[in-house]
Amino acid sequence: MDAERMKFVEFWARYVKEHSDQEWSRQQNIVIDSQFPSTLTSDQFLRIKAK
Amino acid sequence: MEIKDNVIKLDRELNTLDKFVLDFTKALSNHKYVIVSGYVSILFGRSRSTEDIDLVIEPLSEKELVKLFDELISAGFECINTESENAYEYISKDTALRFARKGEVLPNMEVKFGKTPASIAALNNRISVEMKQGEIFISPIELQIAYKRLCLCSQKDLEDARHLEIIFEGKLSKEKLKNYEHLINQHGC
Repeated sequence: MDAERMKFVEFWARYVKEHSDQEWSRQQNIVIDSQFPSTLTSDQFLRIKAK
Repeated sequence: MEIKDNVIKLDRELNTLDKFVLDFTKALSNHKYVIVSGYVSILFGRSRSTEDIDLVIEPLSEKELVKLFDELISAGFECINTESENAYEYISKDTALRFARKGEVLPNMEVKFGKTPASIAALNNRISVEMKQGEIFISPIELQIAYKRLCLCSQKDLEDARHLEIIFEGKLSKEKLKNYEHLINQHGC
């Protein structure tokens, strides 16, 4: 298990706990929304999932 | 975030995944469902994304499933891995049906019947998340943590579990966690 990664997970979780929902979600959404829209076709996606 | 009994009040800014989940679950209004897995930790701030969301519904007859399929099409979704006539065969054989918004692929909702003891427990003990924009039902947090640690076990899943453990520190039931661990150990994943 990657201990450094887990340290960040814990750091960020505490940040979420200590800040308003509006504050942390604004930052989180930068990560999430950057993934969409996707140019994958359904065939491509299903082939990836099948692996 | 306010947590009381089986209701969580969340005042977050919505992202693409949240809007998709809210719109999809609105189209399920007559059916009992529960959101499980990765999206639950993301909803509560986990710093990662996902391309699909796992949803368990109570088992339906073929006729009921075809009706639901048509309702989802009318609501602006499409199934990206099969047609209506094969849907029941797929889902009965534990192949998830994947629904996305029409013309899109991501994100998509991976829909399964609740047949395993863990998924039935999630359905029967689901908790409500109330947001300004609507309400969704998720798996009990204790079950999420137990399932990720005992069944899934990847680095990502262990991180999801740890994130939830910290977010809900002081609000988790040790008894429920133990019971769900026992359920999984006894009956498998």
